Amino acid sequence: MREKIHAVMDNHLARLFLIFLSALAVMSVLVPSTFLTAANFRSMSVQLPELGFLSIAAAMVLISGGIDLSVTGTAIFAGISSALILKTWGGSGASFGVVVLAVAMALVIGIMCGTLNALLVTKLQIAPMLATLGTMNLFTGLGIVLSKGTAITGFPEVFQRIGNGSILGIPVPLVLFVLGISFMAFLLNRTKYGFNLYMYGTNSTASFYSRVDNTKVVFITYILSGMISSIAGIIIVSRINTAKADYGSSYGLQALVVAVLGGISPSGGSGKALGLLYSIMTLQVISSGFNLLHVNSFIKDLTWGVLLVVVMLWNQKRTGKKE
Amino acid sequence: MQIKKLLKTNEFFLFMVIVLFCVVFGFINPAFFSLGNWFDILKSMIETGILAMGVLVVLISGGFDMSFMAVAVFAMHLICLYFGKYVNDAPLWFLLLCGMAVGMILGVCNSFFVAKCKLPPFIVTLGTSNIISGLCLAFIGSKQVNNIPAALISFSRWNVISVENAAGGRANLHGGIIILAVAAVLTTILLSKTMLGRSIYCLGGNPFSCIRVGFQNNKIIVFVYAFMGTLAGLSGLLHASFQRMSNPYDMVGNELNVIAAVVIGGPRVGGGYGNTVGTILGVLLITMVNNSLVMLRIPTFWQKAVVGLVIILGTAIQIFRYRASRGK
Repeated sequence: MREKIHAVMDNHLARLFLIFLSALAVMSVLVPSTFLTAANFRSMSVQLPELGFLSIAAAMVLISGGIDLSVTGTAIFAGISSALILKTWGGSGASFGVVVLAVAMALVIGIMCGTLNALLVTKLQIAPMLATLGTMNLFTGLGIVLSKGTAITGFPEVFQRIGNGSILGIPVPLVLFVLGISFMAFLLNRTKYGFNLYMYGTNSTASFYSRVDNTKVVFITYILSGMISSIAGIIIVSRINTAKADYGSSYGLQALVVAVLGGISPSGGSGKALGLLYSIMTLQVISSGFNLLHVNSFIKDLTWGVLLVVVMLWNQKRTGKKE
Repeated sequence: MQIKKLLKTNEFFLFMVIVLFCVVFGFINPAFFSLGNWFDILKSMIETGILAMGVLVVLISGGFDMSFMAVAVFAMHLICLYFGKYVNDAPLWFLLLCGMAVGMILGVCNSFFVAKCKLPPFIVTLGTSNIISGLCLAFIGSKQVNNIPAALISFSRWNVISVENAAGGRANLHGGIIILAVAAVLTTILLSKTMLGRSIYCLGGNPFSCIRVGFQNNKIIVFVYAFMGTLAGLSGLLHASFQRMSNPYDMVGNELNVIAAVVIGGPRVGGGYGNTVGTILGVLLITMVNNSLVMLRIPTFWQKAVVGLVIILGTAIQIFRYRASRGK
């Protein structure tokens, strides 16, 4: 029995799941009347996907051994571009075709942002942290320039449904997020690209000599990251029916925190989609619980920080023991 | 020979870029060259410059610190709140010293995670940044403090140079520039003239050979983060002085702007490179661009995009020059 417990504690995913369950239990005990309600679970499932998508984007790049600070910049830039298209061609009365065009435009912007990051990292060999630090400013800045620093608001019903509608009672953002994280799990576990990504993240020299096309791996990773970030951008704009350059800018570093909490090693080469899912759910439970407890938002930040450091120390201790 | 070598350095190149910007800015709006404008730019450099010295040392050691703004705010708010309330007449030097001490303690806490627990510095300081600003807001106070110590208020009015300009107004250079100069000179001496400074380069260049040479890596790391914390504490108090109040929501979130200014000055992520001259020039360039857009009649919402572009071009050009020099 004792060995079994040890085995569970050594398994990062099992540990994360335990943390998630205990967070759920604590919140259920503290605020049973409001936490365990359908309304609360519904609002959690609407809030979770935005940060969730950005975390997937950040996590893919972390697995490659790089870092992407520009995820929110991309989301803002893409969100504002699609908002501008909707505004120019009809505003709240825009036709379905325009909505499709706006969503497509956001995705294209995301892909372009990712391509620029990949170019800077591979062709110019700028350290990912610096390259994406620059593009973070650039993309956010372009978002501000496009919107002239003001809020763009008033979108058609069809577009708002992306963030607010539901399919068979399940909120659309959650459906999209489940699809997104399944896609991530599929990419990582079942495709050649996923295999190469882990190889590249663990040791890029070794993967180069194993005939892995390193440049291609990096390009796909950053383009995926950009595209996934732009989806987050669309969801944010659609949910609040407004596009403004500073919405969601605080998510940038949080996305990294989620990824690292989820067991994605900042030095690259390891991490699972399931870990990311547990970590984002844990944080959502904690943050919703704190909201219901009327705890100030800075206590939330404090908890996130403590959780991040503690989980990293725990991982360190466990892996150290194994060696 | 010496001059030829100088012309090839990154710092000289950066200097030429700054001169070019000045010429272009001055051509568009001659007021750019006025003494008042330059004094303003210098004043804006004080806070960023002091922080940049700390960031430079951390980057050279191969580390990273994302928590220095949180440290600065923590020190600022703690000192301003308690001294403002109980010892309002404390002398300036004592206040600054207390701020630096608070910063240093927090810096040592950071170094514990990096040196002892061997956690990756970027992520762990991201965590401690959340913790430090959370502690500050939760336990020190989340309200703006207007009753800051009298010495800080009078310091904000201290001008070392005051020149009457043609229009009859006065162009003032704030005395804080002396503090920046002292910090820069001390950092230069530390980095280039002391064994400790050389060991920081050694650690950033290759931590394994650093041990072999006989340095104690952990001690160097503790020093580096403590140094960063000390300067952060100092800059926090200066911030309160310039604003004439202490707002705990200030500064945090602008870490990357300071890091960008330092990076343009030459150090590479991974460590082992960089010097103070490059850093000061980097800070000057970013401050100049930030301050001058209004003067050039460019709408302020272009600011962030332009800064991003400067960072990308700055780092890209450095890489090209590095490659070219290695190609020979």
